[in-house]
Amino acid sequence: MYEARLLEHFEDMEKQRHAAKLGMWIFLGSELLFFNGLFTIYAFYRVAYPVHFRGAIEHNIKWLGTINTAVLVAGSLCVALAANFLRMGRRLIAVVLTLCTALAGVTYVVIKSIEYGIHFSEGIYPGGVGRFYQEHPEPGFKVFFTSYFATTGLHVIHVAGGVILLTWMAWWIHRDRVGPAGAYRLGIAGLYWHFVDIIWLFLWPMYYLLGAHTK
Amino acid sequence: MSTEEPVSSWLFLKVGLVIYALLILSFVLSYIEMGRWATPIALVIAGVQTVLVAYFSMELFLSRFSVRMLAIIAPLFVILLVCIAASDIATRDPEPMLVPLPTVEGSGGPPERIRGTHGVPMLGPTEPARPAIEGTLPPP
Amino acid sequence: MRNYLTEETTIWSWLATTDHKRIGLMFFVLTSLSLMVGGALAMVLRLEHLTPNYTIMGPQAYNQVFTLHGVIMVWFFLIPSIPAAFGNFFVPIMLGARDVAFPRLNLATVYIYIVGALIVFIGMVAGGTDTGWTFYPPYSSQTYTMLLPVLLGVFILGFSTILTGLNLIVTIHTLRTKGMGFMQMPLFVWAMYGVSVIQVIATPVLGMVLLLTTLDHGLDWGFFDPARGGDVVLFQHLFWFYSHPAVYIMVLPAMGVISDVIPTFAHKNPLSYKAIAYSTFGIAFVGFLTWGHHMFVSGMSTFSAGIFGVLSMFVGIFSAIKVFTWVGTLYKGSVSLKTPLFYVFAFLFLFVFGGMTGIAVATVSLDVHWTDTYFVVAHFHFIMVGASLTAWLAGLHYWWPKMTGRMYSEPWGIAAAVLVFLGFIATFFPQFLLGNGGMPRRYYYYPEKFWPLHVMSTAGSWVLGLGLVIALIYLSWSIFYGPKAPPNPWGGRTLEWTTASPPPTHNFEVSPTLGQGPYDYSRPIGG
Repeated sequence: MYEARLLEHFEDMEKQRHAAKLGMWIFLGSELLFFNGLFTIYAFYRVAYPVHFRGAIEHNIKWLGTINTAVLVAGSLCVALAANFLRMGRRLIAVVLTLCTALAGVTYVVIKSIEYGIHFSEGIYPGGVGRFYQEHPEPGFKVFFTSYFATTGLHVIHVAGGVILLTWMAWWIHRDRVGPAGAYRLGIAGLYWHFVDIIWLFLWPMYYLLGAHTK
Repeated sequence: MSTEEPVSSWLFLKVGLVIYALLILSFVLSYIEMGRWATPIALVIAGVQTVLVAYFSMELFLSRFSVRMLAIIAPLFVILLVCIAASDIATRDPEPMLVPLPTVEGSGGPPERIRGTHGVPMLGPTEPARPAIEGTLPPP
Repeated sequence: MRNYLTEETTIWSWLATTDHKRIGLMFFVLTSLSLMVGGALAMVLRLEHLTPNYTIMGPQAYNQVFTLHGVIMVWFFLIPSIPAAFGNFFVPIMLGARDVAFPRLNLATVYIYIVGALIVFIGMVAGGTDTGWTFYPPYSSQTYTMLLPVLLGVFILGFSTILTGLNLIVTIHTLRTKGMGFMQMPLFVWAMYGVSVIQVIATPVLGMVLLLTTLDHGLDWGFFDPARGGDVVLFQHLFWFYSHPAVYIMVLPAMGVISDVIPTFAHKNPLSYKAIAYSTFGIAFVGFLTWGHHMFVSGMSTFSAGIFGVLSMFVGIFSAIKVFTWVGTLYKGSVSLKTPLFYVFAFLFLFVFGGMTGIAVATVSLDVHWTDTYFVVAHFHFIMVGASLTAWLAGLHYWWPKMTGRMYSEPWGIAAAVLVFLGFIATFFPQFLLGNGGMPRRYYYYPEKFWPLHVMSTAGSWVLGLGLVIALIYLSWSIFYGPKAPPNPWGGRTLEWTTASPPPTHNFEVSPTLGQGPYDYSRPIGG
């Protein structure tokens, strides 16, 4: 069975595992700060155009966004369980759960694409382009949807990346390249997915829930 | 070769249930008009969900001090940038740093809404014109 | 004996190396090349200002040259110069480790750097851009020059910076040798730790800003376009959230070098190890709270401006703690006057001078007068060149015997150091007077009353350039003809001086155990 071996410059396996984990956390900290720019754009423009933002949020479909939240949380739950089962040595269930997470990612991407399609059909495009803005010429609407497309677009790219990563992990577990002693690797891939989940837990209220309640 | 110790799978399931409960709570609350409280309440619920995901699913409860510190520090910098940038636009004067337009004869003073910082005209029409910069500026 | 240079000598062994020393050396070569390009552009700029009108190039070329000078010097030289070159090379050795935590990732940073540099180079050859290194909208969304390759190149380069920082943090956490706690690390390692944290936290925000600017410029999304509800000042918030801490990415490693060079040449323990280590983190943290002082006249609210003005002053406190500790270390030491120490003296003088003018420009009322004048240009060149470049030169001379195994010529070294110092003062001191007199930065034409000071500044740049060229010549000469260096030519106490010069591939013949603190000068070596 192939297992992670101790690299020569580490003192012991425990340190090597810690290094990998710490490295992933630092990377995720960096990723968080990458999204930070978009959070700041949202906060800044929301303070500048509170009424427009509440109006614009009503044009996002709340229940689709909520389903997507539930899907991502389910994926997050699956991958946490998968890593734990792998540590117990139950390889098959770990593979299935990891694939479930990847499937959740695919579902998310599909639903998000449908949402984008609906926006385009309503004439909402990034950059203040489209017939929607003739009915709503207020500047807050333009900047809201530009930031919406940029933020959710970047997030959906991250979800797609997670799908690839976890499918690959499932293959590795199946091929015996990651076993109980290397379970920390699945844990590290899982960290990425949890991070993507956490970002969406904030994007969901920002872009779906905090609207004007006109309907 | 050491292996990490597994924990009970029920732990993750329980945490998952709590996160779903909060998700439903947040969804229901979004239909209630709460005015200015809506944003902080929604963000606090998201924050609690995040803490649950980070502490249990991301296994901070099993992690070393250095990892935990990182998980605390990085969000602080997000809060820092978001809050300071938003406080700028929130505390800005309506027309910041705007120099009142020079008045056309007979139109009588600058419009009411144009004012400099703290409502004081910054370069009013009554002030003497600045002396021209010395030296010669060659033609471009 | 075999060392890391002679272990394998094929080209492939360099291209595919995971040895942190080779990677550090490659970064050293790459950043030095960038310094030459950026320096040549600076000389051209100064030459243009020799006369008030047209001297050697037109206004458009002038705009493009100062933009490229800024981009290359900031992102391709100053930011990676010490962390990626000396940091990669010496941090693992100082910790007693065999390599960094992620050697392959480390190799990737070199290639990411090269790709980013090539893309910027393509943009430069294809016409260059004229926005200034700050890329402010609305102009950056409208300029017809080759902005996209520059944005893209710097964006890619950011990954190199982040991954270097990530690697060094994990290395410091997991690869310290037996017996070395955090409080037994050399002060250079502390500085690298602080700077890595800033790199990891701040650089992604720059990445996002560049991405948004790319979308604005390339696809016309209008994030910062006031006609579509955007706000140009928001760009500045995001940009300076990175770019102010970036100043500390440039100057903290410099301080780390100084903190290591001074005890070695004073043969004396640092006055306070803890004061230097902790103030590093003080600067790193406070550096994140001060970005608004670049924006006092941009239309930011007066409330925010006041807060940023006060917070900016705090940097002065931590910097002063360091300066006093360094001077206190030198006091009553048995000082040996060698080239690195000459650069340290230059650093101390120029850093204090530049820092004090920094306190002055952080005062909102004064800054209104000085914003976008040569006063600010002179201030930040005192910090970036006067402090960071001289510290880089100090580190270069300090570690040259260890990196190459050869000694350089001491008299030439001192002569070059003196020329660099005098040339620097002659170049940038007149710029304070120019700025205070009202000369705006980035202007092509200037009134004749500023002529004498501009001539003085240009003449100074020649002296500064001469000093650097002399350094380049005698250092290159020493690689081939210099005398062989002993393992510990300066009598240093940190771990890199316990191994051979140049070090063997795995740094140490046997993994070192820490018998002595990093600066224990109270006992003889090994005692």
